[in-house]
Amino acid sequence: MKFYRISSTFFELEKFYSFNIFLYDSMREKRLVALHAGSPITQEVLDEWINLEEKGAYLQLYKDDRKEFFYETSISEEELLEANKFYFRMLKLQKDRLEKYEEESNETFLLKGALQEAAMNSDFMPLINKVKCEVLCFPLHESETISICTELVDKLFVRDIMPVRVAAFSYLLAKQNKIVDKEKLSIIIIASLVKDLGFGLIRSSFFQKFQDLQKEDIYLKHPMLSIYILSKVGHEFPKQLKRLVLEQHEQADGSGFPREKKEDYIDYVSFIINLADQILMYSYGNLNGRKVDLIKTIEMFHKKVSSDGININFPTRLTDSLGTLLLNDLEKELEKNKR
Amino acid sequence: MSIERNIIFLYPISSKLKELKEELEKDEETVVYELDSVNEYGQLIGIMEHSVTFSSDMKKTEGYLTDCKQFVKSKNSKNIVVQNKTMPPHFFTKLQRLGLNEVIQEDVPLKNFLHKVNMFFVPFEQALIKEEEEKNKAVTEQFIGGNTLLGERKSPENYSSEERQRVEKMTTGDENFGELKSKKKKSSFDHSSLLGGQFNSNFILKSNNSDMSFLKSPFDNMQRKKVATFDPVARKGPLKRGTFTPVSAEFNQNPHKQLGIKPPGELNKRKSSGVVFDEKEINRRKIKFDEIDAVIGKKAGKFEEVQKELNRKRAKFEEVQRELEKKNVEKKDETEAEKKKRKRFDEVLRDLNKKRTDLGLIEDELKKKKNLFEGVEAELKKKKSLYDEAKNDLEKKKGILISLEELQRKKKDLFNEVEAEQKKRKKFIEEEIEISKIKKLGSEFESDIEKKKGSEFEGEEYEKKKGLKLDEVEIGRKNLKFDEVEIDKDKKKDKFQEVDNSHDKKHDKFEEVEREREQKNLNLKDPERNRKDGRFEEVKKESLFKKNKDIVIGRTNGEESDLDADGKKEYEENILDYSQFKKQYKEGKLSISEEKKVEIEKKFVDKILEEPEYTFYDNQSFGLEYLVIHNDFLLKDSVTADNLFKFIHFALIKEYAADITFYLMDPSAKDDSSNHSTIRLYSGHLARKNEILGNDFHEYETENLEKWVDTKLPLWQDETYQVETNEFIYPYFEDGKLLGFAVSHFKNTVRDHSDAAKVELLAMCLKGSILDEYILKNGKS
Repeated sequence: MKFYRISSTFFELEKFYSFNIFLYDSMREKRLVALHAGSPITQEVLDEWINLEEKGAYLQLYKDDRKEFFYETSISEEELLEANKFYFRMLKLQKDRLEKYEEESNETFLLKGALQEAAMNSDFMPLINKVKCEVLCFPLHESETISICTELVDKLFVRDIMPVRVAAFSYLLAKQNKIVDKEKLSIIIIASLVKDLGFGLIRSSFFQKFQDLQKEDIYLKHPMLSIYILSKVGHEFPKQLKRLVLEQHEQADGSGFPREKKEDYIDYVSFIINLADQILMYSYGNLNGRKVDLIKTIEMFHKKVSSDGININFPTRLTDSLGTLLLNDLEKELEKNKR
Repeated sequence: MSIERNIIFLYPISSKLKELKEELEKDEETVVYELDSVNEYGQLIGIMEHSVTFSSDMKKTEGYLTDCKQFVKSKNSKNIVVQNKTMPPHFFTKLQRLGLNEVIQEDVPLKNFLHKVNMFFVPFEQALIKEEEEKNKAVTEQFIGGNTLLGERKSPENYSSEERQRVEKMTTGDENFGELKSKKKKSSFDHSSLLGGQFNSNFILKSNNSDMSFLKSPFDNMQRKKVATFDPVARKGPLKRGTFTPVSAEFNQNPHKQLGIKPPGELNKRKSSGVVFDEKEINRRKIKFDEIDAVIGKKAGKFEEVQKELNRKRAKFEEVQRELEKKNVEKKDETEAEKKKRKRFDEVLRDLNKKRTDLGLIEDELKKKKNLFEGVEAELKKKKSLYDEAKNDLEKKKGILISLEELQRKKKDLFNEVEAEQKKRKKFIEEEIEISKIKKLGSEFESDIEKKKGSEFEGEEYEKKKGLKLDEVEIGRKNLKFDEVEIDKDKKKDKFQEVDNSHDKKHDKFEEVEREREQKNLNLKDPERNRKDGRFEEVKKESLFKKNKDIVIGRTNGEESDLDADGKKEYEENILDYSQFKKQYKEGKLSISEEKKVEIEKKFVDKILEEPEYTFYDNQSFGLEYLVIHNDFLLKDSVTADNLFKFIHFALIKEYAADITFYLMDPSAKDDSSNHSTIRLYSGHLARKNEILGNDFHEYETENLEKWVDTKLPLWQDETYQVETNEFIYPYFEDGKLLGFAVSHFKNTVRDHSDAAKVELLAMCLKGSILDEYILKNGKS
């Protein structure tokens, strides 16, 4: 930490200080000298500081001036740390997370094998756990989206529930498709978690028969309903995240909904979320009422075999990438014997 | 007919390989080579036709395989590694690419090894036998005038021109023909030439089927020299089987080999075994065969004559052959395989020759350089020894030269003086003669002349002339003077001698001085030498600090001029006197000026301002996790509306320790009625006995229900979140119709808008359930 956050209340009127006092404008991301060393603090200066603090700017102290600061202001070290509570809390959180998950996140993980296991035991926890370990090692100071994503993952990726499965699978699929940008991966995770929040505004009895729900007009509007709910959260999510939520059911040939967009107008990542959702929902039996083996479902999408309840119109690049998740003949035989 | 079975053992070898070697040595047909270095192997493998290489050291194996890749990779050589351990697969594939054929475990029985070796050579032998058969067949046909041995006459027209040519060549020079056919198959070079015609040497000729014909190539001498390093002759002893005598083996071989025919018995055997006839036929053929035999007998007689002629022709043929080789003319009667083989061999040979010539050249160059170096070294030694003598001589010569020069100079001076004196003398004599002549001319003109001269000349000249014309007394005086001059001359001569002597003295002095100077130089340059001479003088070196007692920081004017004058000072080390610094600091001379201080401070601050700000982003989830879980509940068949209400209640308890109650507007109630009938769907207040409201929710409900029903928008009792118990009402509307509402109470737990937004979200996500309940109730009513 090079600069400590300080408050204008730390300083006394008409006093001279031997250190510079800085002001950081978080909106413009710029640092200024609020008061040069040896200059007196007047009422005018103090009023201006208070005004700026209210607008979101904050005063700062350079780390090398700590001793002089303590000596000249009679502020204790604890008080200074208290003023920087958030910084130290986050620092600690990041350290703790790294300590806990870094080792595990670096372990080799074979998605193919994990999916085989999940197909056999219908237990997605290894898959979910892997994603959790990786995401919780994301740095908290890079972007707000990453920070939100880590918190959501921390709270949700302890449950083997459908939205979490979809999010974890989307994340791994994205990585398989060489998407490694942490910001993008975070958006994928958040989008796949919140994409169906609009369901809460639809009659709950509709969900008892999901196949019937798909025929309802309101279902076709659920991406928009999700966006509506997101707008009520009180935080402005990135545009791409909203786009992914809106395009979650769009298909390459324009047969999707709600806007019937075609491949060129759809974000590639949207296809990833859509594919992960369809694979898991279909294999779980939500889409047509019949449970299908997960690997078989992946194979269907890989080979573009159409079936009731699924839409296989995805970019070939994406469906081809599913091939790596499938077993070869020898592995299949071994798997059979194992079973 | 057999080929040479070359087995190479590359040392170090394992015990198993030792056993194998001993076993193979017993076999007369096999030639065993034991090699230690890869270089040696490279030389040997190049001239071998068929070989099996055994090795057990991995480094050596890799070495020879990489170095002799081109030879080792061919089908004619087999490379086997015998090992105790299993070789790692990646390493095996690597070696396999280089030409390794097999890896055999040590525990494999010896029999298998022998079989492997045998199986490798058998195909080559069979191929050779076939070839020989063909040759024999053709020759016999030639001798019996186109009749086959079986009596089936073939018309001469049936022969292809190629065949005829081939047979003709065979008859003219079988050995060379063999060479043409396959250079590798036969050893065509004369061993005697290699050994200088001495067969009784300590060496036994190695039976070598490999082609050595390249020795006849223009590189002759060079190659022969190099061949010696190939070691084509094997020493008696462990390197080669003692019993094996390739010379005798050659004699034991088919004597007709050179002609390309087989002994009749062997030929018959083969033929009879190949074809089965009945007895009559056999008899008939026998008779015929006898006739043929007789004919062959006759021909054989002729053949001896022909052979002599052949020998004669052979010499000629060899010449032609060499020319042909040079031109690299391809033979028509060669098969494709042979051609390929020959080509490959030629290439390899050319490569080898090139390398050899290069090596030779390099060696020659090296020798030359060596000789040169030796010469230079000897010269250096001589010069060194001469150096000391010359040094003294030089000094002497230097002195002598200088003295000689001085002497010459002085001599010249003296000579000039003497000459001047002589000239003077001559003048005197001439003048005297003239005077006497004048005397003779008469006394008449004496006075006139005297007058004339007296008027014409004045001063000294006149005086001289006056004197010159003069009488004998005067002449006598002059003579006296001349004598004085002579004496003077003698004196000068003596002086010259003195000068000479003094010069010698000076020269001696000069020599001494020069010697001393040189000595001093030597003292500096070669202290070792001084020590030996016992002239070492210890010179005390004064410390720099002592020399410069007063070290002053900063240059004074005087010093600067000194430095300019004496370049040495430039390179002297600057010594900092910190005590001086301290003094200056105390005096305040070293402190920075205020202006500078401000400037530095400014720069520092500017730098700090550019430092990036590391800020963490708050890890908020906005309560989205509850909505996600709620979504999952919706998809589950077993989850009822009550469960969903409970879940949201649970979320509120967890987050804000708050209770929530959901109400549904009774669809059966009339719109215009002022009495709102509501159905309590779920009451968290009652379920948890809400303490905030004093555990009496019913009373509170009846008091506030009217107010709650009238709420059209989500409402916080205190939007500044300051009151202790904050009430939140969330109404559910669909198409402008109030479906129901939710009421919750918070005790100082909701403190800002973000908290409020979270609560609103949680309440909102139950709209679907409320709607469902409303529709269901409406349907029922």
